[in-house]
Amino acid sequence: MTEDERASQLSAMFDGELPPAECELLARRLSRDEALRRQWGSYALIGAAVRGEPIVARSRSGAQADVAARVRQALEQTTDVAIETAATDTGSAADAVATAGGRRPRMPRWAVPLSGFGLAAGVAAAALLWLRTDTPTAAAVANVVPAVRPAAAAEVVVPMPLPAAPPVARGASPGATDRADDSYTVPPPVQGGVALAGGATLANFLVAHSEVSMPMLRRNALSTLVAVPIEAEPAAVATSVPRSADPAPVTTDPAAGSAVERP
Amino acid sequence: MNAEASDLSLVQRAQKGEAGGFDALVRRYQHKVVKLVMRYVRNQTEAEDIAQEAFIKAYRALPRFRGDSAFYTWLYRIAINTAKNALAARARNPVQFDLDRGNGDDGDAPGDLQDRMTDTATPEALALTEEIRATVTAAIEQLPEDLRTAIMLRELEGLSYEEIATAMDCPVGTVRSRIFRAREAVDARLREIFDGGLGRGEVAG
Repeated sequence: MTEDERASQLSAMFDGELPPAECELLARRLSRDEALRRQWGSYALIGAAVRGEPIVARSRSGAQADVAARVRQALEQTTDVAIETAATDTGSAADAVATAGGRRPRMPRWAVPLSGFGLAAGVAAAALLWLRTDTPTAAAVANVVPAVRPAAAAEVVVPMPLPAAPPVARGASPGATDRADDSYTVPPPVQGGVALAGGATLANFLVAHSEVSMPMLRRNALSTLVAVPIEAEPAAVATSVPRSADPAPVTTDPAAGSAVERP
Repeated sequence: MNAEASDLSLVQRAQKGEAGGFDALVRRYQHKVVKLVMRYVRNQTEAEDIAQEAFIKAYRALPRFRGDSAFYTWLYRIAINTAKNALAARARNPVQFDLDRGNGDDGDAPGDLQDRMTDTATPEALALTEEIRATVTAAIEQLPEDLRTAIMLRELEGLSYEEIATAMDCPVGTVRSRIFRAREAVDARLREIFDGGLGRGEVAG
């Protein structure tokens, strides 16, 4: 290809009239050939002069440099940091250039939402820890439970092998039915360890909630949430879990939301 | 077909680490960007500073350019934002801005001073600009009629080669050749003047 043919291609490329395949080849040559880029810049200058646009030119005296020369000079000062390919992590290249230019490296754009998630996770963890240490007292649970219990909920509390104590039943209803499908089991409290706060009510809530929660949360987070030291529990257990040597199960009337002792 | 394909090819070269690809883009758009920035600042020297900053920002952000929009559209937004930021910085620190450009000790209002400085700050640049413009105009006037018509329809009216071919009733290949020859003639004239005798400047690029 002669110089004239190449220059003709360059002119067509400048006007966006060169086929893409030829564009690729010529762009490769243009990016490596300073003389060709000078010609390319001259085409831009001619167009700007014809259209009456501001002309950006550099003087030979050096008193003034055109924008392209100044940009080249500025970028050459950051030659230690070569621009990375588009296939690599795009954020790091920009940050690397920024760092070489003396600016504080910025957080990559992709990391911004992650930092938000991290902050939210931190707040959630703090909330869990706070709830862990600020579980409502047994009396408060006993007062709140009847008001918030769903009408259709039913619970069966399996008696725990605890020291003898009279079974407790609240609001026994003659219409109470035994619905095995809705029966949940309250695990026995561990001596010297922790017990479940709120007894049957929280157990029902926990099991019902676990049906739509993630297994990890079901196993760890919620169990941690409802666990409180054993010494804070006697009152709560006394209102919901029969402390009897006789394992008489207690059922809750689904309609009345109360527990009755099963025969 | 338009400039998007050629710009994208150059962007891809730059993204692969070839600085020459980005240099070609700067040479192509530096005049347009300075013109754009001069909507916000009337001083061409200041506009060139802002344009330089905009190009450097574009270079830094180039790895994130995916070609969803035309390169110039993307560059346009960067330049506008850079110009607005420069104006905001000026508003935050007007004293510094005035000191940078002399001062108002002689009683000039800052705005008047700026207007006056626009005309007098870079006499060499103004002379060079006028010289280049006059040279290009004269060179185009000396072109044969068909070449002059082709280059004017392209540069002034922005017609595509196909539209020019229709207007001039000739093949597209002929249009391409005419425009190329017109540019070569003007470029040769510019080189003849700036490289040969005057020695005051050289064609940007």
